[in-house]
Order: sequence, then C-alpha cells, then structure tokens
Amino acid sequence: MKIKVYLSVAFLCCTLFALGNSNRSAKDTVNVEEVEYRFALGVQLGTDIGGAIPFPFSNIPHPFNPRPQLSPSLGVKLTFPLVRHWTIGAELTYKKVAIDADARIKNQRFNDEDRGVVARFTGSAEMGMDFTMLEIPLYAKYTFRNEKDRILFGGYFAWMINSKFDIQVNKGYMMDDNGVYSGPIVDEPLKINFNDILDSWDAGLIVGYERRLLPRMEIGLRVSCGLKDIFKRDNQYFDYKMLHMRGTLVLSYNLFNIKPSGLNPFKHKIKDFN
Amino acid sequence: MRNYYIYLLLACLLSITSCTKVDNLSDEASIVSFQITNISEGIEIDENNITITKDNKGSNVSIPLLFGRKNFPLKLSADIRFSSTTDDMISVDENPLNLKEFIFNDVYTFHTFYMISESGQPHLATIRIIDNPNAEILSFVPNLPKDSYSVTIRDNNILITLKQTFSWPLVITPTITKTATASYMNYKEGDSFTFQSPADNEKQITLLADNNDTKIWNIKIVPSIENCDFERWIKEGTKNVNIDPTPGKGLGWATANNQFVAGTTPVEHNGGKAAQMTTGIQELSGIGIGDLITAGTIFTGYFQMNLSALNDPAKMTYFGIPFITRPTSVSVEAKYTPGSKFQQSVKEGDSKYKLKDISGIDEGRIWIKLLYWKGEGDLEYHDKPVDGLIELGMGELILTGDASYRNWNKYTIPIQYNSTYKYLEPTHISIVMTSSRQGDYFIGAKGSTLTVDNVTINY
Repeated sequence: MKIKVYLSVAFLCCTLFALGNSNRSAKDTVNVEEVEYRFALGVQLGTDIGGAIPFPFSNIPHPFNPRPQLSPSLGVKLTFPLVRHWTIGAELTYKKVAIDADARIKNQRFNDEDRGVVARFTGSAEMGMDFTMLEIPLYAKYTFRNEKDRILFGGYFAWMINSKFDIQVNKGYMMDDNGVYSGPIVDEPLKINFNDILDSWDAGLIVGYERRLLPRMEIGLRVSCGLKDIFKRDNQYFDYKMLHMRGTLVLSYNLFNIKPSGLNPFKHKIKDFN
Repeated sequence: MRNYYIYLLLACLLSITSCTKVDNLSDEASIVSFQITNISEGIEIDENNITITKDNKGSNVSIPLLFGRKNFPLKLSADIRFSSTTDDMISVDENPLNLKEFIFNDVYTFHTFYMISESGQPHLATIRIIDNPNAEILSFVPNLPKDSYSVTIRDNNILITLKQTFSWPLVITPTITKTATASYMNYKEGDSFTFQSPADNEKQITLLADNNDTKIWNIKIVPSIENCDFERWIKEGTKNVNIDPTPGKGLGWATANNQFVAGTTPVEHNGGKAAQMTTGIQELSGIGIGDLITAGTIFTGYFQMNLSALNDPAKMTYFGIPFITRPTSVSVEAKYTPGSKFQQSVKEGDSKYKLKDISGIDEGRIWIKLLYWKGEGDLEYHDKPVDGLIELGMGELILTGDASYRNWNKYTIPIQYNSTYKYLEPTHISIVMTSSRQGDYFIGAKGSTLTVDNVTINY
C-alpha cells in the first residue's frame, strides 16, 4: 500500500512539473498583469459526509442503511500558482468523520472475548464508525477562464487521532470460526468493537470543484477516496478491505495574498517584459 | 437544466425511500411445503398425512410410517419449500447440509437444520418419522421395591432408573402391557431379564404388529451413580488417599489426587463422610516446574497421571461416565470457604512458575454437563471441544466468597438443555466440583475449601 501512495504522489508531482514546463515553453513572454501568482494563506470550515465502505463493493451488506453524522472540520490552506491556470496547494484540516448504519451482516469474524476464541456472526446489526483525524491534502487546481471556477485533484494523507468502530448485533446467530452454528443471539445483544485493529493513518485521492464567491471567499465540493484499508495489515477479522470514502463541503477564506517576488516563478519573464 | 435538477432530486429520494430498514426485516422463517419425491424400497410412508407444524421456535415436519421398521435405514428424497422470508438454511453442526436427501438410520432418528429469517434469527426445522403405533409397550413394571426405581418409555427404549444401589446380577421380571393386536416374538409373559452388571444394561423384546411389521424394544438399566454419598474411599489415612471409583475406573467418581498432592480427602459429616477439596501449592521446583496453584477436584470420570502434563492439569482429568437419561437437576450438599491470598502461578519466559498475588477472591465451582458422544471409541473429554461430542445440557453453581456459602446447605443445580438436540439422549454425564474454579489456569488461593456430600440426580 505504501508503494501505491508513493507512486501516486510521484505521478502527481511529475504531472504538475510537466504541465508547468510545457506552458513555459509555449509562450516566450508573459504579461505580468495576466498572472495571479499570489501565495495565499487561508482558513477553512467544512463538513464531511461519508465513512468507511467495504471494497470491493460486492462486500457491502444488503440491506445497508447509512446515517452520516455531520461534524464541522477546521483547517488552514496554502496555495501557490505554478502557471497562469494552474495552482498547487496544501491544507491541514482537523475533522471528524462519523457514520452510523444498520445492516444485515453475514458471516462476520470477530473476537469472542467471553470465550476467548475467534468466532463469526450473522444477523441484523447497528454499527457506528467515528474517525477523528488530521488530514493533509496536497493538490493541483485548474482555474477556468472565468477566474471563478476551479477543479482540483490530488492526494491526501490523514493521521487518525481517534478511531472507533462498534457493532451491536441485535438479532442473529453465532458460529465458530469454521462456520458451524454455535447459538442464537437472544436476550442480550452481541456487542463487538474493532477499535484495536483500526490503523492510525490513511492516504488516498481527492477530486473536487471550487467556486469563488467573493474576492477572498471560496466554496468547494470534494470527493475523496482512501487507497488504504482502514484496518491494520495483520487484522484477521475482515476478508475484504474497508476504504474511507467521503464527500466534503468546504468554505474557505483567504487571509493573505502574499506576492513575495523571490517566490514568483515568472520573475525572469517580468524582467524580459520590462 | 431545471428539469435535470428535478430528475436528480427524484432519483435521490427514490434511492433513499427504496432502502429496506433492517428493523423491517422479518423474523419469520418456516417450511411451507414438504413433498416426498423418492423413498427406499420396503418402507411405506403415509404421504397424504405428512404434517407441518409451526411454533415460535421453528417448523416440524412429521412423516407417518406405515410399514417397514426392519428395512431401515430409510433414504428419502424431498422437495422442500420455504417461506419467502426465509433467507438461508444452515446445518446444526459441522456436517454439510443436504436438503434434497435425508437418511434415517431408524424410526427414531431425525434431521434438524436451521432456517434463517431475513433479520438473521435462526429457527429450528425438524424432520421426523412418526412410528406406527401398532406394536407399543404401554407400561413396564419391574418386580423391584416401590420407590427404588422409575421407568421411562421413550421411542423404543424402556429405561429403568435405579434410585438405590442393587447387588449384581439383577434379575427383573416385569409386568408388561402392550398393544392388544401385537404379539411377542422372542418373549413370553413371565420371562425374566438378568443384568449381570451396571455395564450389562440392555435387553430386547420384539413385538410383531398386525401388519406383520416388527418393533424391537430395548430394556435399559440406568444405574445410579454409585458412591454419591462419598462414604467409600481407598487408602484412607495415607498420603495416597482417594475416592473409591466403584463400580470401576471411568464409571464412577475420581479425584485429581496424585503422588505430589492429595487435594481431595474424606472428612466427617453427619455421622458419615463427605469429600473435602482444598486448594494448595504444589512445589515442583525440584523437577524444574516451579510452584503451582493446585485446586482440589472431584469428578465423574478418571484421572490419569502424566508427568509431562503437570503444567496442564486438564489433560490428566478424563471427564464423563456413561449415563443415558436427562435429569432436570442435580442436588448437592456443600459449603465453601475461600483462601485468604488469591494468587496465580505465572511463568515468565523459560523460567519456572512463580506465585504472583492477584486481586480478587477465589471461587469454587460445581458444574454438570450431559453429553452425547457419537464418535468412535471411548470418550476422551477434558472440558474442551471434541469432534463428535455434543453438549446437550449444562448446569453450574459458582460458590463465591459470600458468607452464606460457609455453612452446609443443599443446593439444587438446574440443567438447561439445548433445544437443538431435544431428541438426542445423553451418553455421558460429567459432574465436576473444584475448590478453585480457575484452577486449570493455576489461579486460586491456598486454603480454599469446598466440601460436598450426597449428590442426587433429580428427574
């Protein structure tokens, strides 16, 4: 999985570098008035809808009724122009992504703590997933000619500060690890948590759309998809992966538009122009 | 463009409302039809009177037999239909489920499986052959003193449960009432049955029905578990004292006493004897093991010393003795006092076991399991799962450090049976009493004492 993440980031960097170079070579001169090379620092507020989804999707239980829990996210962002339409950016966001669901689950392994063995269950369950994380997206943006609409794509890394994954089976039955029936779940619900096997980090891809509402204010919609299983590699309870998938609504406000000439990638062109 | 948004909104609403809520999933699962498609030769079934009954636990299919008991096993192919709310069918055990073909070894075997409802609730399905009542033994009265026995007639078995110890051989001359139209084939009224020992527990009578079908009846003696009053001991007054295993090794009571420790000893009680189990510390540093917490234990079965298993005492205790009825409870007189220092023998790395103080108070335990052994050979059971062994019922009493347990009291321990196996009769009973319930893990308190007397099996 780490290799995939490294490859994705490397691919992204190479693409951006190539785009930058191709645009420079296409034009001998650049009008400095056309270039918005601000180095912007902003704050942003948002919310996420989503959670961890079984992958391949054929492992999604049926029925599965998710109830996303909305929580505010808070972060800072930094953007820097590469060429006229292209910008790169990075963010640091503290967010909580939570989802409750009820589902009909089949043949799920778990650690039966009462008996100290690995067992399985089938039945109707309520589940709760809650991930509090520090997310660092790195992305490139393309600004359309109207200077208001943008699309973005990139990747993210997230450090899970706190993760919870609880299941309460209200109706159903238990089996041993070989799938042999061992008893009904009656009277008392079966409570299971998978907190110990949740991994502490995640990485994935982001795509999104942004629109400038005011000179300093932007609204954005993003979709992100984890490339990494939410569980630790040695987990013995899930035969499939679960990937973070969420949509994000974000409102950002640029605090500073800095134009440090030393950081202007077009300064040699400006000299030529003058 | 506006239409596009309306369509999108409608699609979202449709997808949300079309989700089935888990709470709405049905808990119901049942058999709605059962049709026989093929049957072994020489056996006749009353196909027109097959009944399907449903209750809150599941479905029962009853197939009336007309003729052919002697031609069993019966191979029966069927087409079974389930209710639309039945999501799945699974086996009750490790054997794969075959719902197309059933094999009945005799009239009294049956097939069970679970039907799983949409919500996941399991419902038991049972498919049984119903015997033709044309060769019944209606009553069986042995010539034994009243109140010294009880008789149970079930399937083709007549169980005579002895409530007191009899001398062997035991000769029984019964008075039998049978179906009027049936006749005896190998027996005449007034004949006796001689049982040489408790192990010689099965005789037979064959009845010939009016349609020329035969029915074999088994007459079984269920001896009481001997020495339940713990009066008989061997090597009393020596360090090798032990309970008398009468009527033989693996047929009665045993203790975990060995050359290193005698945790169970006789003590005076009510003018007789009782069994007292005491938790101690077994000092085995000399043979490289260290100090082990050792619970006193008395149980039905036998103990086999194994020096290589000293650090796994459960391997040396062979639980269970032959037993063929379903008691409702077991009563025992008992008292319990926990030791003062709760400890565990802990092994760190390759070092010897060392005693470590732990929090808590020691507890005694008495448990009973009714077992069905369908494996080959003798049962070897160490209170761990065994292939071919089914736990039919279980009862348990935990004796805590509560002061109420420190004086003699009579406790009745009910036995809860697993309804999945309601048609199976036990083959073994395991009764285990120990002064430290976590003794297998070397957890206990030196001096914890459980004293027991007069175990009674209740029906």
